[in-house]
Amino acid sequence: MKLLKFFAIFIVLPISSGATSAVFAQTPPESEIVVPFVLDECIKSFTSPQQAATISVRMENKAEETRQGLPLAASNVAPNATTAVAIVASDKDGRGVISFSPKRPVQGRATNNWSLEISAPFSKQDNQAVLASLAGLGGDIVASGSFSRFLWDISPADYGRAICQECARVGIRDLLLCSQFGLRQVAKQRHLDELKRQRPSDSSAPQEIRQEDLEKLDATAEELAQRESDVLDAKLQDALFGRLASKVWSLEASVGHKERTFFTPAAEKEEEHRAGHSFSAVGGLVFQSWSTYTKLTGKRDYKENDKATLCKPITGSILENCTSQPLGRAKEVESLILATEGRFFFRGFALAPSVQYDFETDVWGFEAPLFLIRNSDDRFTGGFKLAWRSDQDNLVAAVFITKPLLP
Amino acid sequence: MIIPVTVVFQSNGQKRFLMHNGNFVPIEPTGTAVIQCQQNVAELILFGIEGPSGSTATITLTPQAPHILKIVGHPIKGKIAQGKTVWGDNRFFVVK
Repeated sequence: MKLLKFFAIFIVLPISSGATSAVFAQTPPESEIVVPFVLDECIKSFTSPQQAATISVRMENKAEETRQGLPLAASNVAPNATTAVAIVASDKDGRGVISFSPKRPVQGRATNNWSLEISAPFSKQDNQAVLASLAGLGGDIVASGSFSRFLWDISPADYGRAICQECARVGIRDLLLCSQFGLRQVAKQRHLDELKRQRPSDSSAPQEIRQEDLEKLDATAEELAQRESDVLDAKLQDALFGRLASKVWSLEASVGHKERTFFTPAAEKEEEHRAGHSFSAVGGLVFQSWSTYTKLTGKRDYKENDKATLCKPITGSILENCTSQPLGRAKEVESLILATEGRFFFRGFALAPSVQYDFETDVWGFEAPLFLIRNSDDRFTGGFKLAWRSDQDNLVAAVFITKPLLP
Repeated sequence: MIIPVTVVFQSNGQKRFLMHNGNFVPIEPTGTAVIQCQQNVAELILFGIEGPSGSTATITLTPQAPHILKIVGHPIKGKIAQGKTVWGDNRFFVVK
């Protein structure tokens, strides 16, 4: 009986009949069975490389790859691989950032990215825009270069087994129909047939159904099939990606230059040009519904000493002219910072909270960027963030906005 | 007979992959790849994207003229579901 039912489905859902053009909205299928479905062959095709080996051929440029991330400068843990400009600003200060990442071919299961990022504070006096990012360098200009590698961790064999078994279960007879899209169309056709059968007995025969009724039935069948396929698609996505969809790792080096002046103990004003630097290693895991990144940074930076004031009498006046400068050369500060970040995407917004800890100074930092603004390409481009660090004990609020320079 | 098929894989996700008959296929930054297919033989592509929920993908296959493609659901369209970071699907097709 079941076999007959499946057979009936394919009587009304031939692969190429004109009558099914409304069902197959994207491409009307062929009428004859092009490739008979055989379960074992179907499963095998997902696991064994065949003779027709695939090769890449350089093609003329058509359109740039879109490789969007979350907005630049919003997050300081996950690797960045975008070409964009960004501004992040709090009530005290801000920072401008520009990032360049060359487009590179996706090499099989891995994608390699190089990126160069340069940032500068709005004010040379105050680097508040670094906010709670403990790993950030203080400087008039900070340059960072990074290499990141993204690896898919997918299971074609598990996916193949799951989808081929599902195709066999619903009675698919043509291999070309065996996809999530095909299964959805088969489910829709099944619901449409059922709805037609359930029409009141005094109604006209199926072939005489009015067009508007047919459209209503079609919409209902679509909705029922969608609900059914949501469950099935989730199961198939689980089979393809498992819990862990991909991994990413990255290495980063940064250097920050700041022109500093200070008083010597002899009250002479001098300049120094030492540059801070840092090295980071990042590891990330992309799960089906969220991602997480951990970054370890070793940093050597410079912190200015407390200021001393030198006052000189003004000739012909009882007043004095005073200037303040840090007393002595800036102190060298070494840090080892561990940071972790999670990224969560929702319908209209995304969150990327991060926690950081400096082992050398025993300082904690926390950042919570909220991504709210999308551009016409549906890419997140702006939002605001809250930041806090234990040594300053004040909550800083900042806004950020990004303009991708490549589509 | 081997027939080149141009695959254009456009996506606003962060990452994408394309497999053909069990092998990963390099994709140019333009989103283009070329796969070599046998005439009248069932070929399989498996593909996916990673990115924020709502990210979309459109994949178009064009065999070298005058050959034609037998495929169901083309151009291929997909979208990362709400609360997810990945989407993937497959297609069997024949080049005639």
